[in-house]
Amino acid sequence: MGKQKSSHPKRAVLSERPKDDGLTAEQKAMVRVRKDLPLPIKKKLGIDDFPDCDSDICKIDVKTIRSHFEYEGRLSDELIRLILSEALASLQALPNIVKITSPICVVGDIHGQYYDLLHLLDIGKWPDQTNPKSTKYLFLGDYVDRGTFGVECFITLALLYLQNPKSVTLLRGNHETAHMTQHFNFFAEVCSKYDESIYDLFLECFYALPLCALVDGKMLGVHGGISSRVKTLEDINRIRRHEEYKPNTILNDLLWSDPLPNWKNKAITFIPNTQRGTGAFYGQAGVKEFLTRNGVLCIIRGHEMQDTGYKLYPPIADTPFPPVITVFSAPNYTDSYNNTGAFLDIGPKHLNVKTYRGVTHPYALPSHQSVFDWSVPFAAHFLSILMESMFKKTEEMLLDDAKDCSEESAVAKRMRRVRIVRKKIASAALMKFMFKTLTEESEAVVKIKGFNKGILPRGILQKGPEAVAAANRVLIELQKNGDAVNEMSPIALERIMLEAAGVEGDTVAADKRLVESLDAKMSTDGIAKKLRILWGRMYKKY
Amino acid sequence: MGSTESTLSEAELDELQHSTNFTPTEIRRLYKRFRKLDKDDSGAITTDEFMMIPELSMNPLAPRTIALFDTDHDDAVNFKEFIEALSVFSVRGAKREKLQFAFKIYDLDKDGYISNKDLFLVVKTMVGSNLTEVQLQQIVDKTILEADLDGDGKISFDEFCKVLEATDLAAKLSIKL
Repeated sequence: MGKQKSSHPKRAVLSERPKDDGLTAEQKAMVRVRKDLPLPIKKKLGIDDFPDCDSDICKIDVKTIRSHFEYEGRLSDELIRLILSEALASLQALPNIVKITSPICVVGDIHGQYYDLLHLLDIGKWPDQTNPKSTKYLFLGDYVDRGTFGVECFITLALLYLQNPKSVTLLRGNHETAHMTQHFNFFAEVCSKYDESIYDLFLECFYALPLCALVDGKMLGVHGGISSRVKTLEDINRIRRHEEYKPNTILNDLLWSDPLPNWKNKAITFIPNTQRGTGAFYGQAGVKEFLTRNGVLCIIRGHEMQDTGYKLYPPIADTPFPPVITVFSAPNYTDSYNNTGAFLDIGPKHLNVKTYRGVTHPYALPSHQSVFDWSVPFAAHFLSILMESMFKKTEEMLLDDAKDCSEESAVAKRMRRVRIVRKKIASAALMKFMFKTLTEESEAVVKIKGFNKGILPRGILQKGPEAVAAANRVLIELQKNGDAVNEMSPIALERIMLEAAGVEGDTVAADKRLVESLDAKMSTDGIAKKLRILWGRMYKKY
Repeated sequence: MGSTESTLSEAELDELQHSTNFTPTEIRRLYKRFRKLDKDDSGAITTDEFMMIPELSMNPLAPRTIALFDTDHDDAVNFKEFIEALSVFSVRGAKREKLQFAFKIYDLDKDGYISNKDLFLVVKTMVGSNLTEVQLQQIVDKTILEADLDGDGKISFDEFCKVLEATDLAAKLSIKL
């Protein structure tokens, strides 16, 4: 079959480090345990670095952007806004189904794995605005979340699209939404590298992305697949796409559906997708109907991790062509699957698959926290243990004292104080429990590759801190047992967490008041913050 | 102060009242608790005696934090050191005092700055083998460069306070729709 897959990603070969990295002499001279590693660069690339780019986006040199991003540099606010607003204007004008022609390379999920994206573009050759014969590309969505370089991936692709609009096509994936990017890590990534208003711009662009591509009128590219709701291509063209998708709609199905796991079953057309908790499973029969009705040869899609990077589904009926092809372009997905990545190279007379292994990338905490924020629960936990044990000693002493007392009123006085101290012990124990859960979460963040902190569902908060901790622990345990839980729709996952916290029925309305008083839907970071305030006024209250 | 008397003297009480946030009654009560923790009645609590508190030994920051209580570096925490540390964490302790204590946790070489190497070594005790040295160095580098506002390659107390404020605000997430 071939040699064993290496479990160590290849070292990424970086471009030359930009000379002007924005670091001071003292910063460059820092004593570091691993001084062999390059320091991230601090200089921000701005509009001034590409003269006249504000009137002509083609003046932004993609090679300069590349080497800058490779060393974890950022763009100025102005420059990133320019790129995103130009992309938005251009994408908005596209129809739901874009018509394109081969030869073309079709790329699947990327998920913020910037260094692997660079690798695959190096293999397929970069689009080149000076050469009309350079490679054409179709990207099937899921540019962000899971990996920690979603910003760099989408900005690079947006630029390539703007500079080569006839040869680069970007489609929308199920992660290109508010719900997913806030449940996973893209929102945190943008807030840590830029700010919330830039995130809003990204979201606008995501909503503007077209949904499908029709290649040579024969092959349909889409992120997830089809469902019983999608009868004709006209059905797709007719919908309004510029929005957050809702369950049980064509838009939702296009981005979430999967081929039926039991593909051999010739009878099933479409059934609900229980793996994801949303969208459909499409079987041979359903696919055959769709392809025949619409004169399409096959559906090319991403959305499902593949060990070899791709999957060709066996032909059905007359044509020898695979009716469905899955392509997945994020190798060593979440730094743990050790899968190969792939992209398709399709022409009028050929279908090739290019495969590649993962390359190394700089590490960042998945929630993009600072190391201080990540480590605070350990300090808080230590102090809460001490506090609880102090109160327990007080209780011991008071009980001893009470035994030695002969006077009833003296005993009563001490027992009153014992009751007060027991309340203090209870609240100290609760704090200790909460901070312990937070230290477990910090440990899970670095121990479980691809760990996702997620957002606590509404309904849990009103049940109190123990429910919050229970739901949190369920999330940690689920992810210890494998990443499959992260392939589900967050809505389906929320149901599981609510069950774990013992929340029944529709508590959303009741919880709304509490949430409003806390001023936001709180993540586990928000809960931690509230506890820190209660603890010792260690952090600023606002 | 290695007093092994069962009560504190007036002079000792007076001094501690001035150097901490506690009232005389509270100081006396805390002294009794201190005596209980001081199992061998030596007048000071050693790291081993601290570690007898259940769960404390499981916390990776325990040795470091206990070492910080021990301000005269004689490898044990006497009552004065004990109560001065607790004073920081009492409700009456100023926010600045608490942040100063937290800062000292990370300032390993005690030079008043958190250097790249300081941060690496302290966080390593919490991360254990879950991250490689390369990964740890990479997140330490990012944190330092982000927080280092004056470009001197290390984090001062003021810069430390700013990081904690900033990340608190960013931790507040909200659904946009």
